[in-house]
Amino acid sequence: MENPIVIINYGLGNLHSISNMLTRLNIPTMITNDPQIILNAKKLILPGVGAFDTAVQNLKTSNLWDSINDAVTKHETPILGICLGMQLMTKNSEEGQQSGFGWVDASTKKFQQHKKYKVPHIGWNFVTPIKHNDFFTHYHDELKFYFAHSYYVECHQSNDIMATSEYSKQFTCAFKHNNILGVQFHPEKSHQYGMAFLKYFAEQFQNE
Amino acid sequence: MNNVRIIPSLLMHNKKLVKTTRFKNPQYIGDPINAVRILNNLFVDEIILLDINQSSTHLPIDFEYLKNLASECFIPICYGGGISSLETAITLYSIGIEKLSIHTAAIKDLQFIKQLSTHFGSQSIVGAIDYKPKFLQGCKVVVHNKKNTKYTLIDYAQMLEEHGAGELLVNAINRDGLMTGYDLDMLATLSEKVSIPIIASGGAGNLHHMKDVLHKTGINAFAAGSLFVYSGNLKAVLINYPSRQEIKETFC
Repeated sequence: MENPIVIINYGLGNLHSISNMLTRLNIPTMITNDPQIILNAKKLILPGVGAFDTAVQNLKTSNLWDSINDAVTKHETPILGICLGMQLMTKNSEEGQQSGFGWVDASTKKFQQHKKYKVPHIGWNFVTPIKHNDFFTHYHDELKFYFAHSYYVECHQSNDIMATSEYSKQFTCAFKHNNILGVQFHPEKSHQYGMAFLKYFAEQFQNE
Repeated sequence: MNNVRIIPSLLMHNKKLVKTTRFKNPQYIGDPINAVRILNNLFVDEIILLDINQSSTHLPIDFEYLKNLASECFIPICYGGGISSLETAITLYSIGIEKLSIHTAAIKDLQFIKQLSTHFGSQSIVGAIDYKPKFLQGCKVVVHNKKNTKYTLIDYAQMLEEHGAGELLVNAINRDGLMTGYDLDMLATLSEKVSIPIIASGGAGNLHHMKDVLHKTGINAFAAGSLFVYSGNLKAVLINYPSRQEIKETFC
């Protein structure tokens, strides 16, 4: 089998939905909790749904934290973080006490309650490309994706921001920093737009 | 911006798709997996799938079946019916159901909502409420269409929110299947009393019914059954969904 995209299983996240969409795109995947496979992966996906601290603890108790960190920082393995997976790539979160991986100079914040914009932010939302990048600015359609979250990422380096969305305020819905890609929305549940995005990650992102 | 969510709500009974009227007289509609496939191709916003005899019969959930169903779905899917343990919820999650609708088990014990929302996060947990107006008693929460609970709709909705539900699926039993419009007054009151998103359900007959709710209450998520499984005055079975253009024109 061709080198699969490795989806990290640490007990949180809809792994099957992600592998299901990639399979539909004829892209081989492997779901694993084996640190060695993660270390040697060609590309990684860090999913995640749930609480920030639970995720950090799960990653640490299952001995995945260090191997993911080594893969990303030493081997420079391309990685895609989805939803909580994106938030884990930031330095910290208002949701918990634990530190994130901190690969991207950013923090995770909580949406303020708003009469019109109820929290969590659930539903489809439009995405606006921020700077020239190889996915969002090359897509000639009106882009929309499915979101389900109460916390959002605030990037401290504007260069890292790929795209933003608006929900009571503008927030970063996609960032890119070297080999690290993070999205707040769920590509695996965003139909044709999500498929296009996962295809981009699998076939173009960091493929020199 | 148009951020409404228009959600086909499918009812399943022994793996058959059915549609009820006031929660009674289930009419056979077709095959659930096929319906999900069609709705996915129609690029609907989300799908709600409720198994209406699971929690009353205590049959084990057929996870393999739901896995096949979920694998046809590249949009969000919410499942409800017989979810009464964390283990069941974890299994459903792992097979691709990322939204869990909790009804009977929450009425028995609200701590279950808390347990689930702690594990999965609020955004995955939908608190489902079936209610009926009762003479001089306001709206009462009802289980299995017949048993009144001690809760009024507003109190119970607030309790679900306090315990960590991320959304409320609010279903007016006495409007189910009638296609005459949503319960506007109740939705307006409820919307003032909770701060999490509400999905209106029960009574949708056209997109304008949804627009009425949006304008009167600010609620922007709408479930509908009959509207998306029937066509025409004679209610011929036809899985359908409005075009993007139609939605845009209605809500703009």
